[in-house]
Amino acid sequence: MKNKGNKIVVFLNLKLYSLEAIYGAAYVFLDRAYVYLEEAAKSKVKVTLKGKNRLTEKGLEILRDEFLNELLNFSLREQVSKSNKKIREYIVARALSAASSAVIPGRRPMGQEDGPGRKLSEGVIPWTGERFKEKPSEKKEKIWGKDPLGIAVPWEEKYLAKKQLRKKKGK
Amino acid sequence: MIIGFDKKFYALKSIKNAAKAYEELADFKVKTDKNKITVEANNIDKDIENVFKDEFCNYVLSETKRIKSICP
Repeated sequence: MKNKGNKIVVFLNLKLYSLEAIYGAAYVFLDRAYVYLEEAAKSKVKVTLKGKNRLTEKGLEILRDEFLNELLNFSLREQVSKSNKKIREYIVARALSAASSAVIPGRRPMGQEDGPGRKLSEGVIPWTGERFKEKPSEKKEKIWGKDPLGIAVPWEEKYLAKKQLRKKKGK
Repeated sequence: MIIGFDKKFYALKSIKNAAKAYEELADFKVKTDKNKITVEANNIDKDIENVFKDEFCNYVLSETKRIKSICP
């Protein structure tokens, strides 16, 4: 590591740090420093960090140390990402398959849309909506269930008829 | 001003994107060799001449990172 003219140079071994990790760490520092990458030797990278503001020697060393810490952080993130790749893909696949098999009310199932120029292939039952229509009695029971206390009966049905009867009797 | 980029670390597309983004500030010529991509910048805007190279390099690096994260 060298520092000269508001710059500090770090040599990194590509066997220890991946290029993705170096990019990630460099990206974090773009707002604080000018970062330049060069090949130093075979599987070695020369990273030049130049402070955007004037920095002291101590400041440059802090910049370098923070860069190295960020590099470790990105290396670990990469490692975790690699080890979790399979489970992540599995979760996404499950979520997508669940979303595609779900039938949304009021929307035609996938593959039965009749857009312009689209022909229904043989063997596919054309969409009429009938298959998904419920019988009125079924629907009512599903929505309200059993109503032993008569809570679901509208106010007009329950009281207005009685009131009108009372009025007629009064007359 | 001539700026050299190592092909191992910088993508050609990112350099072209950067040159396009900076086209109002300088005139660019991009050349590719076996290992290096060389950018020749002429007629650089006087106001930013002292930081031009560093800012351009940073822009290229950020573009490279963006491109590599989309299609590694």
